[in-house]
Amino acid sequence: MAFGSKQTTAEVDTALVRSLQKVEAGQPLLQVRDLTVTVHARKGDYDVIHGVGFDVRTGEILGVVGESGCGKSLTMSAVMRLLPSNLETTGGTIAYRGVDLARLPERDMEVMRGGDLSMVFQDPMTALDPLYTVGSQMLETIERHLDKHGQEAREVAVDYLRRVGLSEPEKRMDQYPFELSGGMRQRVIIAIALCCNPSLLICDEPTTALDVTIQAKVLDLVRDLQRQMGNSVVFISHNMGVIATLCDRVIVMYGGRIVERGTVDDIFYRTTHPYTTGLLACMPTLEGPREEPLVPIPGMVPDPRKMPLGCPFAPRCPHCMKVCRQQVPPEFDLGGDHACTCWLCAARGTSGKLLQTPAVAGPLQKEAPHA
Amino acid sequence: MSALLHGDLGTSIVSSGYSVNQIIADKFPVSAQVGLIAIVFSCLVGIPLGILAAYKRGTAADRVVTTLSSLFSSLPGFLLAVVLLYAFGMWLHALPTSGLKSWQSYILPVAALSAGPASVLTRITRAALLDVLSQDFTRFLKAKGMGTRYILFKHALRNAAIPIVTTLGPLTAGILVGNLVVETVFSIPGLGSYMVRCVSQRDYPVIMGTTIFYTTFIVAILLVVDIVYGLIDPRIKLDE
Ligand SMILES: Nc1ncnc2c1ncn2[C@@H]1O[C@H](COP(=O)(O)OP(=O)(O)OP(=O)(O)O)[C@@H](O)[C@H]1O
Ligand code: SF4
Ligand SMILES: [Mg+2]
Repeated sequence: MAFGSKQTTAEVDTALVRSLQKVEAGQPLLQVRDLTVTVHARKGDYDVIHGVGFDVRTGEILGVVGESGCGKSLTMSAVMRLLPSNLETTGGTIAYRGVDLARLPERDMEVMRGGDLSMVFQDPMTALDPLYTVGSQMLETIERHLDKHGQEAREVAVDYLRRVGLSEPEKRMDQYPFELSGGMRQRVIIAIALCCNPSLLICDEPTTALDVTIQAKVLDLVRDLQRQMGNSVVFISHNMGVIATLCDRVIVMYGGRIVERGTVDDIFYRTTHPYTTGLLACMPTLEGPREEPLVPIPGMVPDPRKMPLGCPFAPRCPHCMKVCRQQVPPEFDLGGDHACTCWLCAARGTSGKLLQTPAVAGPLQKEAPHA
Repeated sequence: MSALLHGDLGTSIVSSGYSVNQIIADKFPVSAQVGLIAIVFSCLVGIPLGILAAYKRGTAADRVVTTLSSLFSSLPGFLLAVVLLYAFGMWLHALPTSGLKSWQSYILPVAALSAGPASVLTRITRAALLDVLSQDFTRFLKAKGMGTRYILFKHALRNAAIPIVTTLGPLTAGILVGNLVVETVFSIPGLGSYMVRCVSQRDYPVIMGTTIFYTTFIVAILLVVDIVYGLIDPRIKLDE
């Protein structure tokens, strides 16, 4: 790897970083199990994320799709331990390179954030402090995580600004955020997120606030950098088209649960869950006119305080059966990476076996990674 | 009128022979000295308490600070001055109550002058910090691994400085030119107590002259505030 090095991070916080396991390519870097997020409200607590579990493997781009409000951002904020103050992770484990982030002390978590684990948010216009130069906001990150200061740190910063495709990186260092356009700012933010060479980069709809031509450029940038640096990326989007072009595997979320997961081909060509079918039916294509008209999914995302008893999608599902309204469907293994949480899989007599929802695992640190 | 434009504010009609300029030159330094101590004291107490309340938001410390600051900012100035005068001066005989002869005699007037501004500063600082801490860039700073205290002092405080300076400007102007009530209660020979006397004696040239001085002074302070904005925020450029 040409850029940065994990050794410098290790010098900063030896104890923690030494305990991070090396993960072979294709093996899970992040294993989330039974993640539950609860909202503390005056009228009583309620869950918004219900026992979500997924893996992120090394060197892959994992897409997370779903309509607005289905819990994509909250799931990833919980992984980063950046939930709003009235929300709390109340269950599950977040095993990252063998360390359970859910139980890590806040001080150690700060070492992880921005260093080995990075996140980019939706709106580039507001993500930078307006009062400090681009350079100073990059340098504070580099000085925090890499043991580099002064000229050495500046060289890293300029280098990353060049890598994200900003012209005149030296000049950008001394500019303020208000002097840059939205697309340039998002590049700066990606440069900041990548400059400490993280193993995992989480992008929460980083292109939604940009116009279409800039969106395409930023997507290319994310993919190019991921290929160069070989890190893993979680890419949140509500745009199926973006997911199809960018990702290796996809998880589809609905009502604070994962309803279908699989490779891009599984999701797009062997679509199983009625919700995924619905999402695809309202996805516009660029390749000429499509045969069927765009069909929006009728109804609305359920309010987390009034979750239906059984399947969360039941009120909107065209295939809803009696069992759907009574019991939450389990996840059915469809072979390979493909799995679907829908009673149809049982009704159709799918060859797939019933996947057990793993119980809250004990000390995940000791466990050998399993796919 | 042309005299006014040349900076001459006329002569007093009660204390014959005294020019208004002379009166201001005599009395303003007294007010300004007490006022300067009071405003520095207000900042030293108010801003740190505001930071503390924001840092410990939702805790008992936050509630105590917030309650005290709303109590003191709603308390009328003359009431506090009179209570202080009676408690420490007349009853405990602990502190001098009139004039500015020793350093002890500054304590009560400064306390009476600072209570209001200090509590206003506490509230503004707390509110401004909480506003900044809820903004997107704070979340990105956290995502970069920056610690809470670093975010608070390096980023949030500078962003909060704009509303703080905006409040501080008029507060400073108001305190420096002399508080009518506090100067009268503690018999401080400043511009404020002199103006009260002139009002009761209907010394119109002095009333008019000092009012013009007040206004000019406030305008000057607001200019300073604008310059400070430029220092805090790179988006505000003074030379364009
Ligand atoms: N601070 C909060 N307090 C209470 N409920 C919240 C809070 N933040 C989010 N929620 C709820 O959690 C659910 C999931 O929100 P989340 O932001 O994860 O959705 P999302 O999938 O990222 O949607 P979008 O595409 O709009 O970003 C929503 O129903 C929302 O109402
Ligand atoms: S479980 Fe039933 S309601 Fe839910 S998606 Fe499947 S068919 Fe529809
Ligand atoms: Mg979101």
